[in-house]
Amino acid sequence: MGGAVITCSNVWFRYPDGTVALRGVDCAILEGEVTALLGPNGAGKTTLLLVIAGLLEPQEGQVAFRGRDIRELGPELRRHVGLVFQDPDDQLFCPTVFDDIAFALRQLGLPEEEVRAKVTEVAAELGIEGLLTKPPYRLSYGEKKKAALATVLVYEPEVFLVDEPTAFLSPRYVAFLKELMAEGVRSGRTFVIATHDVDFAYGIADYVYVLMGGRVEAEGKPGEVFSDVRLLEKAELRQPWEIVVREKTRLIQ
Amino acid sequence: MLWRRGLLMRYLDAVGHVLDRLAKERSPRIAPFTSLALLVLFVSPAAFSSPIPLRACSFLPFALALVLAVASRELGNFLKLVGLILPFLTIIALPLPFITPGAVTYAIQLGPLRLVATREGTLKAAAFVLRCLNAISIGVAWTAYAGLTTLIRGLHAVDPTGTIPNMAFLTARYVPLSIREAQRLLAAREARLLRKPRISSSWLVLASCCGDLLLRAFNRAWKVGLAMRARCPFGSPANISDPRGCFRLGVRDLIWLLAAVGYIALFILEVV
Repeated sequence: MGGAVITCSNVWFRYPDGTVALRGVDCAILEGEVTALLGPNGAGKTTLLLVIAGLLEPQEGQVAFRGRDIRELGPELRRHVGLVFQDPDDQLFCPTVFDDIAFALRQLGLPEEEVRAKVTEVAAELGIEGLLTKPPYRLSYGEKKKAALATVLVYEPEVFLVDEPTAFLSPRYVAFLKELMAEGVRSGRTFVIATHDVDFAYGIADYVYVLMGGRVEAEGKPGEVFSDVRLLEKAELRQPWEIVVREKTRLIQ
Repeated sequence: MLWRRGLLMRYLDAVGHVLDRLAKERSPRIAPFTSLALLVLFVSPAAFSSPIPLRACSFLPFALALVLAVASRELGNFLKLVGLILPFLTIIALPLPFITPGAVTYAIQLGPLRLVATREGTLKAAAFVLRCLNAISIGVAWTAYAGLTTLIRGLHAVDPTGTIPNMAFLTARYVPLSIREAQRLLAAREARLLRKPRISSSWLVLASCCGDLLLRAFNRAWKVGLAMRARCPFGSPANISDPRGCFRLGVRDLIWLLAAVGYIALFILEVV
């Protein structure tokens, strides 16, 4: 594990309609780790991801990538930080899946042969090589999710921000995603996931932030956070099944 | 007993289906720019000339459209589209016989109101319907044959900066999605109607969807904008698709261009 790759200091963000989504958030994303952002709906998880990706500019506070303010980095940050949106229909906007996966590579000005090779490689890794010529709206939800992930995986950013990676997906896809992220972590990638899926977060995360009302309510190792039942109730979450089963087994024994 | 799906839902189904088929990615038979040029060449004579008085060539664009629809295996959908368009065209053309001055052919008495139709007006209405039908059918059939995405790629020749093709691509991508969203909204509302809906309540259901759809469209546009920026390391995005190969000119392109020239010559000599 390395040092902090992203740090947020006293980040405040207010939407134009007056909704204050983030109220002085402080957090640090460590390199080569999976950090989970948990919390109820409207807690500010997605907004925090958008702020970290440099897509929304906070009114107060600072977000730094490797010690440099992301405002100084500008669009260059996007080479290092990739964002996968919750709804794949927001993420996929090109005429074909191939064009969508190739989009970032073409923006980087890579030769077409290299683009083709990289797209094919990532598509094979995710098992969507048969979908490359299809328009994205013809895919199933799970296929769209994989294609959306491929659009970011292909340009190999250092940090992956993934919004609700398991929402509406089958257990098989969730297991696949877990394996993919574990593999990514082994090769030194950093993941930040915003999720309600406590079982997924418990199984994959190295560190957890619980957000409520735009503030960090609690943080810590998954074992610590998920054993605080009162906190979980307050954050409209529950204990992961693994902990529940372990507790019950212990009581029976 | 199951209720039949409302007319509106079936209409949206049909529109969505036709758009789906049009936007379907096809193997590029003809180069993008040639496809676009051919679309203009095929549609313009039909759109800017009067098919009245009727001659064999008045139906040439429609006949060509039928051939293209058969060639692209979309005859059924093409005929559905024609069936969908004709009532609209008729409604638009309906006042023409009554508002155009000329020799009176017949009169309709509606209580105190007397509507007088003229020969010139009737011909004008027929010419309008035929002209629109010709232009739309050849345009749609060519789009189905060449592929919508190929045609949009051809726009790179018109706008090398890529703004227009990008906008066209996004429209082609999100219009079918919006139709599906509209269907979902309607279905969700209809599911909560506990009695068989009357026409008036159907309109209320539709009206309540419009604002929702508009807001969703704005929200989606904002998010898609963010998603594009998120993958653009140089600030604003360049082209959504690859503009290369736009101007390639093969034997097939040349044959089609010659055919288009023949079509125009025939049209100009016979019809105009």
